[in-house]
Amino acid sequence: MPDKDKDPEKGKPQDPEKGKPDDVPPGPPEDPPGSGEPPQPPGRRKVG
Amino acid sequence: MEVFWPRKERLEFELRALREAGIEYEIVSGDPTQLGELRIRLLSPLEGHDFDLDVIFPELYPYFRFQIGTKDVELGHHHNPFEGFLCVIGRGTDQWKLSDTVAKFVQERVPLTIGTGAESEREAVEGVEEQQAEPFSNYYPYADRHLLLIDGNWSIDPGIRSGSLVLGISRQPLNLPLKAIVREVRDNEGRVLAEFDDSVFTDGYRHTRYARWIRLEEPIRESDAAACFAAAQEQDSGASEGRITEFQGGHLRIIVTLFPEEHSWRDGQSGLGWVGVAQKNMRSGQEHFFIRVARAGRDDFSVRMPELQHMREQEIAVIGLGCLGAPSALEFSRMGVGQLRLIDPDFVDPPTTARWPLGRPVYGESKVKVLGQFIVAHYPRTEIPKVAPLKIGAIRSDSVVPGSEWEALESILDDASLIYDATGEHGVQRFLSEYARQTETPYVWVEGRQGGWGGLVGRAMPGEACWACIECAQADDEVASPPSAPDDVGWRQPQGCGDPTFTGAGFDMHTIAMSGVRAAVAALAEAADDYPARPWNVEVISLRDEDEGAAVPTWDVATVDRRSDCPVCVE
Repeated sequence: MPDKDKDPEKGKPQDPEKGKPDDVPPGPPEDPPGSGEPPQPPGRRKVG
Repeated sequence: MEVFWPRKERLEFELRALREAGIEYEIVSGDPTQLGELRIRLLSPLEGHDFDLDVIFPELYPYFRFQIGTKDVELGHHHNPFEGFLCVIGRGTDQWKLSDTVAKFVQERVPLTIGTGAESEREAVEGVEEQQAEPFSNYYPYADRHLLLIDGNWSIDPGIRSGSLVLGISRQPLNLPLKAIVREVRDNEGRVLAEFDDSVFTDGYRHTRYARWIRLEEPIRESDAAACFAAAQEQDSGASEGRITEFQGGHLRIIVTLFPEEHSWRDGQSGLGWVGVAQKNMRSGQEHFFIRVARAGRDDFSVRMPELQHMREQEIAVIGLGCLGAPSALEFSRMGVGQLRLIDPDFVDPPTTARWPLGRPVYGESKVKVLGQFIVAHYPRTEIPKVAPLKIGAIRSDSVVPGSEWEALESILDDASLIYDATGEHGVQRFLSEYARQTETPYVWVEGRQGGWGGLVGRAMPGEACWACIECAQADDEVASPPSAPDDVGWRQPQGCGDPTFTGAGFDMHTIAMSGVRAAVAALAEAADDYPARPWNVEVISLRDEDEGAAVPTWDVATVDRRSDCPVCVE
């Protein structure tokens, strides 16, 4: 399966239409519904 | 292999000591130079008494004590009425010292034992003997595996001398050995004097049989079952019906004798002894045997753990039945938790049973199903009303649990006394902890670390720091991190498995699971005499040292307060 941290789009040729000022999509809302996620303690996998 | 201790020399030493003390003896059976029990008889060794004493040296003597006895005296205490053994020292193996000899005991301990054994006044023996009850019913030579269950809380009107017992057995037709519950104690007119009113427990004994009971002024001092049965029958002047219990191949006549006996030290025989004696009739002939009567009332099970009585009424939802959740669920049921609700999507994959409570008979079965069935069969006072083979949050391509996942989950979690999360899954913890917080349900989670090197137990009580507060505290290093094996040691994908799994010994994971159970029990404590509540809400368990390997297991505890930066519970 693809590794989540590796962007499969990297290295692909750029869409020539992208980058035009008028086409910039709106960014995500500042506080998306469903937030409230605590930071995960670093490193260690939980198992059970 | 020759024995590794000087048995022969020690026996020779014993016999020499007897001769030197002027105690005459004869060898009854055995040979001091050979293995096997050695029995000797001491000829009138006690001043003022004209009876002999029998001494038996066990094969493993002198690691284990000899027994001294006589059947020529009748003592109220310190004397096995059937085998004749005298209780010259306490029963614990620590009471026997290598310096003890028969000669010394005959001169010192036996006269003292006979004196206190014959004494009926409690005050006269206080400080002389161990304060331990000696129930007479304990001495009968019971047949293996036969058992009648009663409730130790019963009180039978002492004015009523006999009646019938309504027995419940689990299978029809009855196959011996007899394992039955006494559902009712009746008088001769059929009035119920006592009943096993714990339907959850008695449900397993649906088929009815009957027996007789009689009350005696004192126990029948007869270790031969046929003679005891005849004596009991002679004293039973009541109705004869209801005395026959049919079984595959014949019928039984059972009489249960009730008599006063000690249940606490020198209590004046204020307890009630129960002893069953049966006559077994078959085409091939007749046999007699004693039936042990055991106490199995709800309170009888609490005697060994009085601090856990508060768990009887609890309803605990256990989510995740891996090597943390399954032993936890079993432990909850052993302690008599009123109700367990179980969630786990997995089936029992054979290699996982290396760290799971059940084995081969349940390969391939649903974990929730087989664990639930096992608990109901073995610990029936724990009800399992709801189980769900759910993988919480997964897209469901099957219809194992039809309908809405949320509704299925809610029906299991609703009104639970405590949610016990043993999934070790961050996403599931996040969901369940929020459910618990919003419904004000105590939430305990338990998680291991790779290699079984450590783990963590957390507790979030209503109004206190929530799961996310504690996760934040861990992320900020305010709480220690449990040790974890590196991936090359602690993470494997077994052949044919869709997902990697962690390595770790069952006994190490068990340690973490039991810490979770302890936290749950403490979280539900209310009264002062309940299992003690605890101020901390996080335990970090370290079973290994990441650098050194072996380590003294440690529990680091922390009390995390509600955090003003908690992304979940801050208002």
